Amino acid sequence: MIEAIQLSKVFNGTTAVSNLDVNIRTGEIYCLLGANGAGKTTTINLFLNLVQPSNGSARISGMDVTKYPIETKQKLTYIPENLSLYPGLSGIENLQFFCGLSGLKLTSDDAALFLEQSGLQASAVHDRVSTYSKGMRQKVGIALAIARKSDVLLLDEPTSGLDPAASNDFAGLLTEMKERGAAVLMASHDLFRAKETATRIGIMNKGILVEELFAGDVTHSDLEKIYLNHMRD
Amino acid sequence: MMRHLFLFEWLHIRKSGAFWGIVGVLPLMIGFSLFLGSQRIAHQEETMAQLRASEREFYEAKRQELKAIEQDGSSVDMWWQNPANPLVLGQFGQAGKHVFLEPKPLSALAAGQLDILPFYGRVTLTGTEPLRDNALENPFMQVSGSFDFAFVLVWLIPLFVIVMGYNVISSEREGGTFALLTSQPVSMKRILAGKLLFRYLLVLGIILVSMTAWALLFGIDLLNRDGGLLLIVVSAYIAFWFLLCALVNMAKTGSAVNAVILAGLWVFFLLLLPSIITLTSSTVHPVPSRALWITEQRAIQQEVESEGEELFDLWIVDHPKEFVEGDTPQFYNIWLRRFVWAETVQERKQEAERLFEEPRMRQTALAARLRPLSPPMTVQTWLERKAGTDADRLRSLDEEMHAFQQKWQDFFLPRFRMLEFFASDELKEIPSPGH
Repeated sequence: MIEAIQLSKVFNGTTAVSNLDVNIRTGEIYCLLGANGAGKTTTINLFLNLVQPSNGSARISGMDVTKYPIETKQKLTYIPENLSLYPGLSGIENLQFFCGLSGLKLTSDDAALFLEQSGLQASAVHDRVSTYSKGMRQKVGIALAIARKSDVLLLDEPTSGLDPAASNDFAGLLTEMKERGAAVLMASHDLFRAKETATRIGIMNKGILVEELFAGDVTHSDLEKIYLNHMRD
Repeated sequence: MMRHLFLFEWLHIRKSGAFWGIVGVLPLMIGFSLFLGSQRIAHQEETMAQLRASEREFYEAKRQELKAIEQDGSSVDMWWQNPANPLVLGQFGQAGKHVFLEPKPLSALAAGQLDILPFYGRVTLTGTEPLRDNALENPFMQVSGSFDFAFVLVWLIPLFVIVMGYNVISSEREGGTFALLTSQPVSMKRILAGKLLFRYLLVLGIILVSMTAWALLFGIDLLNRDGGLLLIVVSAYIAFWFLLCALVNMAKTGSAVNAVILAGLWVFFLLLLPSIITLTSSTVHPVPSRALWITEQRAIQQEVESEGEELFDLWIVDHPKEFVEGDTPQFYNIWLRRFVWAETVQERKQEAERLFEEPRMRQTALAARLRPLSPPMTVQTWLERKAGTDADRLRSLDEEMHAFQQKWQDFFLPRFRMLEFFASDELKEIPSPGH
């Protein structure tokens, strides 16, 4: 569903991603862990076709994102670290707008329903987004994925800056998305959330995927040790 | 997709103070410019009506006077009081006729060169006299300039377009929504096109609705072929400025930089480029100074005066059957000479004028070839041409006056030279300019 084959990106002689091979299946949450500059965001941007790979290919549902940019984007929802929406519009209007860009017309009632499914309070859906907290805005992003029935979710530090309760809510939503059959690629610094939410965890350092493990096979403590060991290299 | 983008663009724009500012100010500017235009046309038409009425009254009075003389068989002692005398009818006092450049359907839209060039003039047997009753009589007009629709369209509307279009994409970057937009299954070019197209149609709609409403209110007829062409020109000109906004938005610059670039383009297209075109055409084809031309005209006048009798003698030799010999009245002898001299002055001035006019025409032609480089200049020129207030048309007044003067002279001078006075019935045949 989400596939990187020998994917590399070099910026002005600096390797950001090197020969990445990853295959994330439906119903799987893959968490990329790594320090700042490890290449997590570049990897997500490669899947979004925002940067062109220097080598290899990034594929969504079997399609190379550079050859099928529109078709692959039709299948995915992207939630950046700080999901910015149109502050003058309500949650419903924002959802209607972004769904409309993929050809999905939503009535206000449909949009409200999807927002509520994503955990947003019913009383907030008509409010201007300028009054929303970061956690509420992230929920609009999840509502977008639910409404569009996205096969793929690309998340870049989605829980960064969220309070523990909001972060826990968000993890619950991801699990729901996984159960709906989505393939999720999440870049994060948050080892605890990665262990709790992900199916598999990949550790990146200096653009290289240095270790890949199943979340269920390690304890929180083991994961931390492994991670820190790689970061010291 | 476009419908969707339009709908949400409207949701954004209706919450924008800048947009409501434009909705408030732009129609007022258009209305004010059309009001001033309609006033200008009304003034022109009033001037023409008054002068034509005055001409009609003058010649009707002369005809009645002459008829009365014919009926009671009386005679007039003083030659200058005799309504049958060609000089009285063609030269003196109120005699003579006015030639006008009639307003065109779009005249209210562009004052053009009317503040420096006249739209009418008086023709008598000895010459043509262009008349001004506009800016030169009201110097404040030259200080304030003409606030006409051409000024609003060419100079001010681009500023409104820049306000509407400078940050269409940069505001998405600055607001953080760009990241989410780029992940959507639609290209940024299409989003940019949709957003700008909607804003373009909105601005165009405001302009067209305002123009139509104000034109109806002020009695300006836009429902004609030129009105249709105007619609195309306005649409294209606004599209040009939105296109510049699109190009600037495609660069990954911030809103402030975009605004500065677009303001710079406004200065370039409206101020610098026209100046460069003017400089180039005047450098390649320099025109002798106006002062030299005026000096030349005075020299011709003096030359003819000094040649006086010699010129008249030559004319006598050349036109042996076109005058009366023997004991003729004094006024006849004086005016026979004056007409010869006036004709000579006119001929020599025309010859000299060519020396000044030819480089000017070459300069104008070069400027016209370079003009398409500047869309604002092209639109301004087009509007003035359609309004009939461009320099070429206003200069054509001279030609029209000279052509009519020829008719005027052909009607009166042969009769004067043969000392043949008019009968009252013949006064109906006094020529009028072919308005």
